[in-house]
Amino acid sequence: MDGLVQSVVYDTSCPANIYSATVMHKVDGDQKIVMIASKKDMITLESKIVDDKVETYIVELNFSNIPNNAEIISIHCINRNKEFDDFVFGITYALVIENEDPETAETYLNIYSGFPGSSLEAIMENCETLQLDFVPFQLNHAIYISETHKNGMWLLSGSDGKIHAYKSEQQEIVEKKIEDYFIEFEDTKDSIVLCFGTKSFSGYKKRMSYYGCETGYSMFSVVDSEKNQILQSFSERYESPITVMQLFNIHKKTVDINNILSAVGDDFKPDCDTVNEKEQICLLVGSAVESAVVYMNVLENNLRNAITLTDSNRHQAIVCALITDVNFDSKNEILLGTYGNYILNYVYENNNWVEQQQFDMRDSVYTICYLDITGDGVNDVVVMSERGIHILKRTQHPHMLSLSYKCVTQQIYA
Amino acid sequence: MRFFIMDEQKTNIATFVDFVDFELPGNVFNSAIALGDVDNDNEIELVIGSMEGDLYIFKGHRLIQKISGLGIITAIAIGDLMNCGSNALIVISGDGWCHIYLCLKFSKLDPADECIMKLEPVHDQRIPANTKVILLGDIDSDGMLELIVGLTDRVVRSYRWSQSAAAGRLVPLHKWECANQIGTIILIKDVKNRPCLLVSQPGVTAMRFYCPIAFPELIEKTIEYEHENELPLELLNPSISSVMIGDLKVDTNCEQELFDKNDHLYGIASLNGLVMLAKKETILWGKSTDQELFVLSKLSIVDGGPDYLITCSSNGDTFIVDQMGQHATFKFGESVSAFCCGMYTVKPNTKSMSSFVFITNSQKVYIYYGLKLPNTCVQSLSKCIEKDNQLSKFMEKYEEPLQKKIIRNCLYKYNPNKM
Repeated sequence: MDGLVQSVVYDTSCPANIYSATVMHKVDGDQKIVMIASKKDMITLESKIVDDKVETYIVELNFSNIPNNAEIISIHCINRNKEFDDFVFGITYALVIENEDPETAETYLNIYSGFPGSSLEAIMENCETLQLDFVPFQLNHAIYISETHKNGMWLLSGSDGKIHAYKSEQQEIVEKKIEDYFIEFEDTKDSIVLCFGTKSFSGYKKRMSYYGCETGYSMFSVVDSEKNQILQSFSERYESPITVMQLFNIHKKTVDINNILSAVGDDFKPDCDTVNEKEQICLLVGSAVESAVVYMNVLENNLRNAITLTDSNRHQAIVCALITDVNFDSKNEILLGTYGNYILNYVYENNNWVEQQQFDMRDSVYTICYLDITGDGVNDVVVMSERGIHILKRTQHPHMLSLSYKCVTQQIYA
Repeated sequence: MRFFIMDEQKTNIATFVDFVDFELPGNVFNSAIALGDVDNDNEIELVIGSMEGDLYIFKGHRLIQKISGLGIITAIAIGDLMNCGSNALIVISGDGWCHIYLCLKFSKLDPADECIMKLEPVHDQRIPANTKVILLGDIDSDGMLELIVGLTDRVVRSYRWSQSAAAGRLVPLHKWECANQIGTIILIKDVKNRPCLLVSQPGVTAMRFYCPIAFPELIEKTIEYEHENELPLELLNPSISSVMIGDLKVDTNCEQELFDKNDHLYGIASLNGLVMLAKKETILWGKSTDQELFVLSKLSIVDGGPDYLITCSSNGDTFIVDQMGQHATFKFGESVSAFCCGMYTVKPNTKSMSSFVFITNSQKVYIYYGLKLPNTCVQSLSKCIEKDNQLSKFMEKYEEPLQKKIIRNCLYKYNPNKM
């Protein structure tokens, strides 16, 4: 977190929840963030250059078919296509009627889609709606294999203690039996699932799945995607609700200094649905009361090799996490957003997770994202807090400069 | 002159993170806070006097002295009033007592002992009651500081410290009467570089006074600002009080030729939300906020940089306005009874930092320090590349989308430990 400063803050009054931001990953490497700013406003951030200065501003998005009295709960988006941008958005919301018990509010799932290359405006107009009979929590997607083809499915956890699966078929959202596609999510011990997800590996033949419940129960399993069969399954019980679970590699794919320029041509795109099983895979679990835990090398050690992130529970509950490389060392760091106003930063050093520095946000942190909002190639940290949206920017770009010098000199001598 | 109306959408929001807070039982008048080097150790302390008669001196993260029984403290000033080379603390109470304190023991504070007696009373004197505002300044160009006080009965008085062998005392010099209630008193230089007092009056007007001994030929004058008629009339309500701040350090980088280095700029803020920058008898620009601005101050946020106008409303919204009229807002988030800003030494033996001091209605003092303005502290990468000759030449060879890919590869796909 060194070298990051809060550069812009937007007051967006009403606090969001932890499911209120999603990042669109475009095919050309650009990114865009979509956020639920207050109960019913959807926004994105755009930038323009005014007097040589980058000015970032909020643009409202009007997703169709969301009534005025709706309170948006969660949002998720995926890019269905690897060649052209083909985004699909899922939004869940509740219709809140004044003086009525919010528990009995009607809840809906809207899915917005277009065709490959459709603009966001067109996608926002094309909506399918399904009424739900539970309060939605996290909306996510997962990949399954049917007849050797990759297929996507919407997964939604709900107040009924289940994870539901949905698919769009002929302009209609159809609920599918979760056990036919994701057998590992069938039994969630009748507890509300606060976080869940899957990551595929071995060329989508296998996947790792996890979920964490309000009761403190958590599950991690390795599944054969082709047969929809659980290969291994492990569970762990915590004392408090599990708020954060994420699977990740510590090391990122890197290129040699000499190949930086040629690597521009190769079209390797990181696939956020997969993890690299050749590197060790870690599982982060954060809960409301206890310190967060990282299970190292889960494919080999399962849940036996746990490293506790020391003191990560000192600023009240851990609310959200971001695993990314913010300090340009090509290793991923863990950023934990806490209810007690701080973002904590842990780095992997000498086989241990070591806390580096903490960042005071002055308000409870709800989500953290890392993306390039200005479009100049540098990623910024976008934080949603109780107050609004904070953009943390880099003050310096350490080895971009030194490195490019090297490139320049190489070019000259070549 | 230009007139801006604040655009909520384009507001820059400042967030300041580092702060210290203290309990402060009692209520505080806005003139009863001062930041200054009260014990002459080159570190800046915060002094607050309460309506309950207690005087608190804060240094760094702690209270170092509390003096009680001073009546209703209405105004505090720190400065070399005795013209002896060391700062004195002047405390004036509403019932007309002026107390002067000096730090006689010149020693660095031992961090081990709590709350030791540092300042000692050196002089008490009766002056006319009902002091509202206080100013230390040289009104007659003799190089010595005088004490100027403004009273709630529209009278401005000045005093000079006179030291005799046995004892010293404040000698009354002049008395001026204003047409209306006094907002604040500032000392500026006129066109011929003569010091003059400006007393802010309701409805964005001011009275100008000269020292009658030094400049007997110059008479007092009510300033009706030029360009005033361009301001919306409803904002110039003659019953709305206004405050001023003088002697702004000019922004020399300012591209528009609005003012030069020798200009004596001053700011005006009114209770109905108008902030203005003025020069001589002209308003350069005005800006309307819809807040009740009850205090106006100045602060050079960047070390050695130009002064910003800082104005605070009673709901805690603080506006930081530069000399071009651009502003950022800091939402303190609590209602404020008094505010001041300036430099404050947070850690002993370190440089003092620009700070905001808020006194809340919940009887607490918050000092925000290490202030950084939004957007001023970040250089974009493209600017970085532009500045680097070799680098920009290198990047020029590539087209726009490729440039971005190269940057991304360099930043996120390259392992510096694997050379």
